Amino acid sequence: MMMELIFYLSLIFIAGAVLLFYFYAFFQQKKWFNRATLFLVLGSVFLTGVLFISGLKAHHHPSTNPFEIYNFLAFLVLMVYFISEYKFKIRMLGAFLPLVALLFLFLSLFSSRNSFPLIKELPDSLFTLHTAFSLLGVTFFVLSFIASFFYLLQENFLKDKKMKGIFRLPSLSLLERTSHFSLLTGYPFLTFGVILGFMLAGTKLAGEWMLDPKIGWTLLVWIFYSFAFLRRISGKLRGRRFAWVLIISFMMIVLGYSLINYFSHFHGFIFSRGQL
Amino acid sequence: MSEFLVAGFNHKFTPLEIREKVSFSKQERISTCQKLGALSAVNEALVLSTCNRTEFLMSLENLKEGKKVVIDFLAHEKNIPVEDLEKYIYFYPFQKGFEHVFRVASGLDSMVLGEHQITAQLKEAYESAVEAGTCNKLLNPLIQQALKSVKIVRRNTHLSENSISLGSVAVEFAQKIFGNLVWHNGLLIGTGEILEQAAYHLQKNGIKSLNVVNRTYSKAEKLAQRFKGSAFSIDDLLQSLFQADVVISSTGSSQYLIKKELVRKVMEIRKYKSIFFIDLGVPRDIEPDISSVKGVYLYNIEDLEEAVKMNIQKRRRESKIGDKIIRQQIIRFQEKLNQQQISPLIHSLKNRAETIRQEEVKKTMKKLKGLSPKEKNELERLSSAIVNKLLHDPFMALKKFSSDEKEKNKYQQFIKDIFNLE
Repeated sequence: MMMELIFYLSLIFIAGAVLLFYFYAFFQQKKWFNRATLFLVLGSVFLTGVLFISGLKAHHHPSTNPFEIYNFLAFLVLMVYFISEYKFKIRMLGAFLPLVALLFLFLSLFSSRNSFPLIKELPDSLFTLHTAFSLLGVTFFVLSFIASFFYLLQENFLKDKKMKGIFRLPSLSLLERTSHFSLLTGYPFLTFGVILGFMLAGTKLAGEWMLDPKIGWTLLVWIFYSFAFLRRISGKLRGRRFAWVLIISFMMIVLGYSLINYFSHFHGFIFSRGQL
Repeated sequence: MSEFLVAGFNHKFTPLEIREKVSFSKQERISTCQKLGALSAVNEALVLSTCNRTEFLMSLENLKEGKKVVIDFLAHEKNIPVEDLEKYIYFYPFQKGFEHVFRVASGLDSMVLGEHQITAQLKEAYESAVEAGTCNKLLNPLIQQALKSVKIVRRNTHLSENSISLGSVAVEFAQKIFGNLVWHNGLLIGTGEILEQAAYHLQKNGIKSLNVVNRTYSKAEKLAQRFKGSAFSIDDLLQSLFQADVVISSTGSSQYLIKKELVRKVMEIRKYKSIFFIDLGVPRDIEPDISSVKGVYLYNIEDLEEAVKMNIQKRRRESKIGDKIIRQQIIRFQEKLNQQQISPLIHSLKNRAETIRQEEVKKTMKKLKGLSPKEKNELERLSSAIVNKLLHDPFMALKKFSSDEKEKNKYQQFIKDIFNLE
């Protein structure tokens, strides 16, 4: 009962924050941004409470069922938003990252609370680290996707001299730095998450796991991000091309989560539905 | 009670030749405050003198007399005919005056809406008046509250965030591409006044280096020296373009100086590292088609003018928010002022009550011999509590009526009469 109340409070505050961020994006008045930030902080505090109670109830890290996973993802997205706001101060991100968090909260609202069938067979610490690292990596890639999208948009505005748009978005340089930061931070997390996932699958699942579509797709995503990472740190990928690579890589993640997981034998759980 | 008046001349109503005559230098300000303060009609005085305005903020005994005093003072000090002064001078008494001071402090009354320089100038003027000893009960809290409201206006509006000069807009566009300019090189083609302005803004925003190219090398050298840059002749244009990130051009050339083919070549060598071209020349110096080259951004004078217009509109919109904030701040200031005005009465009433209480306690103590220290303390506490509770309601009523001048005076007199206060 307590958890339901806190969950709904976090949902309401984060939805309110998103609305206020849109007011800010539209009116460009600081007061809307300040109010939105206050709502978002309150929503995040309540969401932390939900995760804490979930963990206490089940005596484990709160990522063993779809409800917890989506809540955890929403929480990570909000944390990445706060980090990026502190580091880069791109206020327009407020209209996008918290929206992603809100989407995850809505998904969790309709998701199952039953633990994944494989959970009991898996070593607790490895599983926790696998989910935490993978989700953290993905969350930073959400940021890289949005910053890259903004980059292309701003470049377009600057080329076409669309004054209103130009002054609403930050500089190309700042957007590229944000994408750079999110790639360099997210990539190691994704790599560890993938390695741990393989270790888990190798030790506890039956032999045919190698043929699961999730495995092939994950490897493909990882190769894309590895390409982006290596080209970027060697200084060979920048500007428009860098933005496109990050956007395409993230689209692959989205495709992986939405379609490939559906056909996966051990990641299909994410679609199990339930009621709060 | 003193009356408040702002008298002055500004860029809106007064031509430059009169503004020049009525202005006061930094050195003159203190002595002018002292001279004004020495006049019998003036209680407090502050002189704000900038290139766009000269204003006198005064606390007076009598408003009508005060207006005459200012005109006579200026006519005498600056040797200007009274008719000239009367023609241009404006007066803002009381509430209007407070609002004017708050608006001036926040840059809402400035020629360049939202500029910051005026705040510093008002601070300096205030310091001079303090030094002259002509800031007291009214001007002290007024200026302090006005400066406080500047912070609130800036925190809650984007008033000064949008550039409104061609030079600063050009830099703002460059920053939209490169972010911080400290790692980027600038190139000026030509040596005109508009380029000087652009160079000033580029340097102010920390551009790494500034090269100047011109047909007449000596002119390029002169401008480069001013901004600690390097000068090149027009033959070195290609070489200069390789290194430049921000290129601003304004020459009298009747032909394009920078053509698409040249830019394509430069970009290949630069590995398509972005270049921002600003063509301020009329006729244009740069072929418009270069913007189709990857990594090249080209803006001309019309684009910058459009941005300036848009930013002016934005500032006007923001100034309305600023005005709203100022109105709230003035209400707060007046509340403070009203309470400050009744505080001497509250103070004397408290003193009178305390004197009576102490006398009566002393008498009682004499009668009740052999009281323990605890009993004495209790007696003190009891008498203080009775006095405080009895005075609480009159004090509250005084504060309540403090905003209505007529009611306040009536109530103040009533309190004075019934408590026999001086």
